[in-house]
Amino acid sequence: MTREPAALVGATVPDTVASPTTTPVFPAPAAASEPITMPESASTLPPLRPLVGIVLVSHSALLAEGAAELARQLGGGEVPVESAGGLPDGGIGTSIELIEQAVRAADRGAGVVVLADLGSAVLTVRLLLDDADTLPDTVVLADAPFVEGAVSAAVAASSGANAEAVRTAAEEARGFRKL
Amino acid sequence: MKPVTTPDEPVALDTAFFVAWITKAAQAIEEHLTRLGELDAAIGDGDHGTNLDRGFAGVLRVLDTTSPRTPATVLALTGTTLISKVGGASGPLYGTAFRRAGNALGDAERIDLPGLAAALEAALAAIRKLGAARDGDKTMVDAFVPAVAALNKAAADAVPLVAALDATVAAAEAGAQATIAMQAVKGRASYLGPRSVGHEDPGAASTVLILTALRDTAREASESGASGEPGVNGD
Repeated sequence: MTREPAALVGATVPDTVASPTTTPVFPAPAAASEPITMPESASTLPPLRPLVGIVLVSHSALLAEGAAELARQLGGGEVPVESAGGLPDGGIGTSIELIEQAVRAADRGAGVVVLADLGSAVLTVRLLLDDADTLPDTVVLADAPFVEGAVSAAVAASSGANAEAVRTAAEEARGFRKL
Repeated sequence: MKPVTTPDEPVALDTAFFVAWITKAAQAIEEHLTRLGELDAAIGDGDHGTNLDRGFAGVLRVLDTTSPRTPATVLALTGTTLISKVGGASGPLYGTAFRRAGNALGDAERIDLPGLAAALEAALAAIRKLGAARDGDKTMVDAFVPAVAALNKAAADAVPLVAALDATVAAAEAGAQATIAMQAVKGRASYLGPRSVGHEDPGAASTVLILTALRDTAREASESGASGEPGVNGD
């Protein structure tokens, strides 16, 4: 009985013997006013490294943004995930301007990994990477399944992995079995 | 048949000529919009005609509002506009083709036949590199390869311009016809597998149109003898 957790004691023993107010499950610190001192090392840690960004390029704006929504959620909310879907007028297709904007928006200085769905989306990203001198230094295209790769990349990016490792994570998603 | 003013090259392949070519190519795409769409609908998503037409309409607007100084500039503007306006796979492919062809022309104000052949060779190399398509994959490459080979041979044999481009177009047409029997391994058509056989590739068909526009521009310039006048491109 003596090793039973406090919460169970409080729940099973009559109030007259021991009440939750007298035996708090999470007792407050003995001296709350005492200043909390951080360990020496905490103040000397380097600043947080920026996370690798992810850009999802699809023929469809809905598909790109839907995959981005999922990747943001599963990436823990810190990873910059941008979508570039469809044409500027909302039609189905690929827009080099939208892709370029998304890459810039996703870039935090640690590089950007791009995933594309099909055909012209892949071609347009490759062309952009071949030709553009104005893009951030580390922008790479992953040869990965769109949804699984996006999620895998976001999770890897959230851990602070570099662009090459994030691309590898995206590409390894091709091997995931569902059944 | 017509008086030839210079012994080697009666048609000046200058900036005005290249503007005339691109303008004629845009007209040809617009005229064949329905046919390209039907070819694409058979094995692709049916938007090749409308995509290219949107791209070339944008090109005409750009050429109308700028005054490109060299043939290379005309092709660079054409390529850049196609890349940003087409929205399908043909945008980056033709876009990079025109841009690389423009690079190959350098700063020259007049291009000779070997220079033109080298530019088309550079265009083909760019398409192959970007699209990673091989011969026989049922793509525009299958029209481009024999066309470039024919033009290179004509340039090496010092064939007159119009005859050289006749041979180029004939080779492109034969190449495009040959795609009918091919099975697609690139793009949406590849999902059809064997069912892609029996249809001409729309990219090969549009390549024929663009090269035919080049030949027709040369022929008209040769017949009128009026090419090379500055200010022809609408300023």
